[in-house]
Amino acid sequence: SQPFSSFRHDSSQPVEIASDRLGVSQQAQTAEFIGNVEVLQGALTLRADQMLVSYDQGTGDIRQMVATGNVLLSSGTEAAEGQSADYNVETGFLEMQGDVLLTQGQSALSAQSMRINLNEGTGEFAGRVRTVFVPQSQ
Amino acid sequence: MARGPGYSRLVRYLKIVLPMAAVVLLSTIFLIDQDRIDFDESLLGELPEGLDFEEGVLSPRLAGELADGTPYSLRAEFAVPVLSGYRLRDVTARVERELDPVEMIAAEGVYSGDDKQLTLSGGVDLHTQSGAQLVTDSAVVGLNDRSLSLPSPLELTSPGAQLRANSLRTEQMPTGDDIIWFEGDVRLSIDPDRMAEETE
Repeated sequence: SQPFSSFRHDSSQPVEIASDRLGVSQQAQTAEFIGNVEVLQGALTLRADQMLVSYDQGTGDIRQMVATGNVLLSSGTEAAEGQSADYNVETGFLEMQGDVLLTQGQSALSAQSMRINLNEGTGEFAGRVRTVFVPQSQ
Repeated sequence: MARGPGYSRLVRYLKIVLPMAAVVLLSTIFLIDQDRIDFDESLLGELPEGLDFEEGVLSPRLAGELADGTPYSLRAEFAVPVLSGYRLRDVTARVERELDPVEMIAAEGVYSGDDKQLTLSGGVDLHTQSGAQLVTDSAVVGLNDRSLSLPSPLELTSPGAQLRANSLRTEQMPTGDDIIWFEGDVRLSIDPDRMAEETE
């Protein structure tokens, strides 16, 4: 199947977030999850060392989520890894940076960064893209 | 990782509910700030025969307004002076926030004038009319440094959201911003549909 196609999220699904610590700052309008962060929603799982959620001063809507350190976004059939991921909730785009690797079954694509549209399940790479096919065992 | 009403409700709860625990608990401490409890004069008149003040006073009650004008009330089943403060039993504090009053109940409380600290124990339950609730075993509220710590596991629930952690403490930043730290096995779960239903 098309790369990225399984990375679609359904915001009506229940969400579970686990971490070692959570710091909520009124003034900065942020919630910072620290240590073994895991976010589960529907078929998608995001893991990272740390995740900073920032929200809009007036409406309280979440604006952005930045995950850093050993970031892994997986959908069960595909997995995208990188050093950081910046998710813009408004546009639905998740930008992953730092030696990114997208694996799908036996094949893997690596590049400097990738940009995934979680609303549509589409994506693109940036920087030198290398493709790794692992031959199926006969 | 998600958009839509559930998330903004979550944040509104994070923004409102989480600090609220501090507001109410700190408001309780502010009520006793003057190193003594202002007893409702009429009550003193009805004290049972022979109960002198040193033995304690039944259902002390006081009310007033917080710095921002929000009416509050505090009552306890019983209050007795201890070394440098008061021991309270069955404490109930209410802050009449507009649209969504907050009430806090604690089995016991000890207010120490020396270190200006109120320790609530035996079960602390803080809840709002709109259905948010914080339950834990004990709370330590510091007057001098406006600190709040809940040393034992706590559960914070509101319509469609639930947050659990092993402990909570507030940290004052140089910028004057209070950060609320939830520590140890933090689990936040949100059901966007339930949240949306509750707030329609």
